[in-house]
Amino acid sequence: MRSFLSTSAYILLVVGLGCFFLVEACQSAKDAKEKIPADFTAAYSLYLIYEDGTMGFLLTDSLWQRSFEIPVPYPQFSREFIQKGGLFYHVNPISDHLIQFKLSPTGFQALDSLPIVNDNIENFVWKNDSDTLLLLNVQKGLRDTCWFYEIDTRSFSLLRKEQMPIPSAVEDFNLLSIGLSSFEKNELWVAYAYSKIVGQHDYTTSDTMYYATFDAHTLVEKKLQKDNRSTYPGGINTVQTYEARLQNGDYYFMSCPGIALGNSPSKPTAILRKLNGSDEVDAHYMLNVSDSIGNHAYGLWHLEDHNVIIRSERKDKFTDFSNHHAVFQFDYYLADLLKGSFEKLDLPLDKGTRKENVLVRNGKAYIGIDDEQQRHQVWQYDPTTGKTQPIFTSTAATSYILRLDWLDNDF
Amino acid sequence: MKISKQLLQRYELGQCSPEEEHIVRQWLDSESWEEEAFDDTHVTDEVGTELWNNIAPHAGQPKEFIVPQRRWKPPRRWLSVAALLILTLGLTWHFYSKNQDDHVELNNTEAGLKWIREDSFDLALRENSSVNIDLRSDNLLLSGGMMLKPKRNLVLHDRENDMSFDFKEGEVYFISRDPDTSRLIILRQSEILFLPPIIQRQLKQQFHIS
Repeated sequence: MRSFLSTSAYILLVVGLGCFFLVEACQSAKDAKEKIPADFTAAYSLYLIYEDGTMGFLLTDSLWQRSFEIPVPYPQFSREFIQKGGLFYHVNPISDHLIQFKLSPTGFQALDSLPIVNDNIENFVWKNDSDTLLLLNVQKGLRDTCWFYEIDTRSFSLLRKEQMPIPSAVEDFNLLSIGLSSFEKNELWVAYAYSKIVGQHDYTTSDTMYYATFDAHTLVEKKLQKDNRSTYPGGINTVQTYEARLQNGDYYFMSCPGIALGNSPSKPTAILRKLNGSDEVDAHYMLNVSDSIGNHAYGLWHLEDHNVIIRSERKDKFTDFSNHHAVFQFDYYLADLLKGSFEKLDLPLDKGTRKENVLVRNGKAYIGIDDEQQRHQVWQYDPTTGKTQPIFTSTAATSYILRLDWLDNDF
Repeated sequence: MKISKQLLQRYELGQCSPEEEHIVRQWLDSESWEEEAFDDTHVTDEVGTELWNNIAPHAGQPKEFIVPQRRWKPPRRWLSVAALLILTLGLTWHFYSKNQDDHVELNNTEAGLKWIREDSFDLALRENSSVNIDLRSDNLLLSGGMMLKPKRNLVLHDRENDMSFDFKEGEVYFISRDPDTSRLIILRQSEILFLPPIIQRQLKQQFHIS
């Protein structure tokens, strides 16, 4: 009996010590992930959801050969961040502060912060591609109100915070969504729509898209245009891109009435435009995406000239919004904005509703795909050859590649 | 006759008379551990002083306390019966009380959430909702919606659709009954970001999450 007890105690001790060292080893491995070697320069970042539901960054070099994992700065960090020149901006929902981060060899380093009322940014614009960041958010309450923030990101100071003269509701449609924004010649142009809840898990969006032009100094509305050819223009642009400005200044954008955004699926997904120098959306131009490809789409990225890439769902693959993200259904099309033609890219079906996973660099498109074979890869599309090929595979325990960013950064 | 050390030594060497042998056997078979056994091992004052002188230099140092080991002996039969009885009663009480906790029935007709904290899970029930969770049969009945945080891995069976679902310890789940299809909609917290922004907004408001 005593020998049995002592053997058991010994086994327990060995197992216990084993577990202790294993945990220690894992911890060391996790720590090791956070340290970027001095000879590594991060060029791209992939924002991942891991299999356990947590999130993190995977940084790669410019040749997609070496990669390092970096943890998120805090647990409430989300994909709704802005990144420019290696600096990251995110609203911490716990503190309601916009925080500026720098990516350093030891991970994210908070540089500064500003109070922002609300826990998300609906739309952002870099004013004249400078360091001045314009934010639009919607304060949700009994009445939705839209707020404008102008921030100098160099000194990280708030230059202006003002309420936008955008009505909180139209009839009983009382949920405001800011979908697009652009800044040109001291004019702020904003596209928005109104929705309403119609059941415990149901809502719909009114049949009208609103395009408003404001004087950037006074924020007085100069023009309001209503368009009912489609609905729900754009979407939250920290999550996905829905617009493209061509070389000649023409501005193209997408409407998203499908179930993943506007939930008015009888309206078509459309590509619309505002010609350079005009403050009105072209009433004579509309590419009917739904008619052309037989499905709704969400996401539009400029490739080159008058070609864009769009990301579309497959209505034969999903049941409703509850499994929309989990099924492998997303196709990518090359769309010619002038000819109105759509060409499907040779890529595996992707999963994940709304992803900022198309990036264009040096005339080539890089697309993050989570495919049915459980591979999480970055594919390269070369428009000169029309060929697609995988160039990087995530070795982290990935569930989704939510974002693909170019870090114009040298740390 | 007293049991002495010398007697036991003689017994071990097989030098005892038949009478002595009988007495020693009787003593060994009994459970008597009386002090009288070694009453002839009296220590004289001289020997005691010598012993003390030997140990005195070490007296101030802490020593490991050594408990004299006794040979393990099987307990008496009545003790076994009592232990078994206590064990049976204990287990019965344990499972009975556990089963009492493992059945939750809650109805929320008021505005706001209703919270329950159980050994196996925490639960927040939305307004105009009702839930019945029976962990003895793993059955889940739900109308409306709730937020569930399992404290151990659970498998719950939705009898309405004859489907079973795995819920992992530590995860947070948003579960609701689709009123149109009566299907259960189950989403992990990390999947909420894929929902349409308006549904995300509704969930955040309902469950007070950031």
